[in-house]
Amino acid sequence: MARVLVADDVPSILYLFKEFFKLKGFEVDTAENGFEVGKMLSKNDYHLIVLDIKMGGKHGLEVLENLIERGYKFPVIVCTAYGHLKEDVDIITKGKLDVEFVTKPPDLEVLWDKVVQLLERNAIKEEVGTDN
Amino acid sequence: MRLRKKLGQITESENLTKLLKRILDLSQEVLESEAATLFLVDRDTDELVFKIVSGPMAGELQGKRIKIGEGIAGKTAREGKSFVVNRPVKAGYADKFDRQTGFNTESLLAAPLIVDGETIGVIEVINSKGGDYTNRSKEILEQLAAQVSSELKMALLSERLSKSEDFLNSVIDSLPGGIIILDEKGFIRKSNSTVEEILEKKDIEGKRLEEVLPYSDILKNIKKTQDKGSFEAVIRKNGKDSHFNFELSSAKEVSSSGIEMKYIIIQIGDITERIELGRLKYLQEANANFVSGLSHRLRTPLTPILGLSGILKEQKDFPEKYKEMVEIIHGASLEMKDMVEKLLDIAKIGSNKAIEVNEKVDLNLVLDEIISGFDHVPFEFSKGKKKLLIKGNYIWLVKSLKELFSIGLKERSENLRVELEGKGKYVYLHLKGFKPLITDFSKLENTPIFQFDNPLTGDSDIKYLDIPLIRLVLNQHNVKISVNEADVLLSLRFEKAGK
Repeated sequence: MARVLVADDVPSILYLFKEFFKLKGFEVDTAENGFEVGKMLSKNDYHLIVLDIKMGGKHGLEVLENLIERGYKFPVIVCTAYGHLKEDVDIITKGKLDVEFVTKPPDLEVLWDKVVQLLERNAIKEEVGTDN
Repeated sequence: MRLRKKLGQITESENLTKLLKRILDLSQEVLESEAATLFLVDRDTDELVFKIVSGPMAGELQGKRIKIGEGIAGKTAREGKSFVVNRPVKAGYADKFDRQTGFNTESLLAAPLIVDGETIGVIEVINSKGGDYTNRSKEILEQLAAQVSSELKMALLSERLSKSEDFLNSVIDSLPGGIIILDEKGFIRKSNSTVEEILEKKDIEGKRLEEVLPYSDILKNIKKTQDKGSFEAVIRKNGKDSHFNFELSSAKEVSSSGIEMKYIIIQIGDITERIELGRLKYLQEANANFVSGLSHRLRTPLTPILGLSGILKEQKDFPEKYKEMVEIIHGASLEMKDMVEKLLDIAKIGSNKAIEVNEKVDLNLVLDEIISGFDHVPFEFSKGKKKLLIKGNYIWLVKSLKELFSIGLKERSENLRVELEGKGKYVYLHLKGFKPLITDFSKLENTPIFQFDNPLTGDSDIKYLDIPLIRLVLNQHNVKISVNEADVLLSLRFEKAGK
């Protein structure tokens, strides 16, 4: 089963993504800030991370830098209310991480399309995508 | 030459003419002469002018002219020294003059008028009544000539002073702001009409500053600022606040007696309009930031509402009654999402940021107009179907474009880009596949013109490039420019919005 880590400092958004990915057949972990992301990564392997940028504690852009520094290669979906941050994300991750960018509130169908593309691109063939 | 011209004008002064006439009469009297003449040099024509004449021929000779070098007076003017000639006709002088006028010249004595080492005229006495002119007569005339020269010099200085005063007044009056020149004791020595308009007071020269500017805070600031620096202050006029900038500087004057006088120059500029515009701009920006912030903040709570209602409405085993309710919640949250997007667009208009639109743009037209914007610049262009190549000085281009594009336009699309490529001395700017966007480059309004070196000659030949013109052209065609700040030196992109 594919495993996803969702990081956002808003509990209701974490809840949404948790339910959404569970319905899609994922195993879901959540992190309320950038520090927790680090902790979770040291414990588990993930096929995908869904990451907010403007979080309390450690900023999402720092998390992306840490991922690159540590040599993680798994795909990331950046989900933020601030569309203009895409440029910053691109600058940091260009050629180093496979990232898709969506703005809040996301259209869940579009979000799912991006997830599938990312997993396919990264040759992750776990059993996911069981629609309800 | 200018000195003599000035003297010509000065001697038009009635008082000076009277004074010179008195000295001339005195010369005639002391040297017991039949006639006397004061000549002034006209260097434009190289002539001596009979300026003041006394004696029997006065009426006829006044204003007449003789060539410098001609006769004894002419010789005196040319050589700058005195001459005594008794019985001049015998010596070859005055014969022609006597024949023309019927006058009988028996003796002549002439001395030059010298100011600052320059001969500016001649004083001449004619026909000594008490025998021949002697060396003693010459000495006396030279003393009188020195007196005349000194009077003329004084007149010249006074004229200069008066002219420089007029000049100063006209300079002060032509300055855009108000000017007050204060002496060390705090009296207003000079001011211009703008100050009188600002302070709504007339005839302020000679008054103390506090009489015309009765604002303790401003006076305190002037004292504090001394003679260097500036401050802003508000003056309430007709129930309305007007904002002024006070700029203080100093000037020194050393009098002829060596006393040093210090003056404080106060420049007063009306900045009310600037302040109000700034305030308006600030309010506009604050408003736009608030709306933008609101739009972003609304996105966060909207995310679970929209997302969870979307999931719920798709649940097959969800009771029909509740499904209907959830669909209503989901529909309403979609409407809210649309409103939040519009709110962000409004904020972008307010803050002059880019808004995405979906219109076609004629790329070739854009390229043509960009090229025409570079018309006066010695750069090479070549235009492909979807490509513009500008070949120019690397340093200039990088500098200009860096300033042009580092304004923080960050939206980017994947497909379209313009690349700036550095190759040795040159930079190549490739514009590939424009797509439409509206852009307001208002932040460039204050970026006037860029300098660059002449790439053809390699000299530091300063020319100017009208970047705002390019901005206007791009703006007209709804083209947005964005830049990747990480590699700003080597690549930049003209991009479109959306997919």
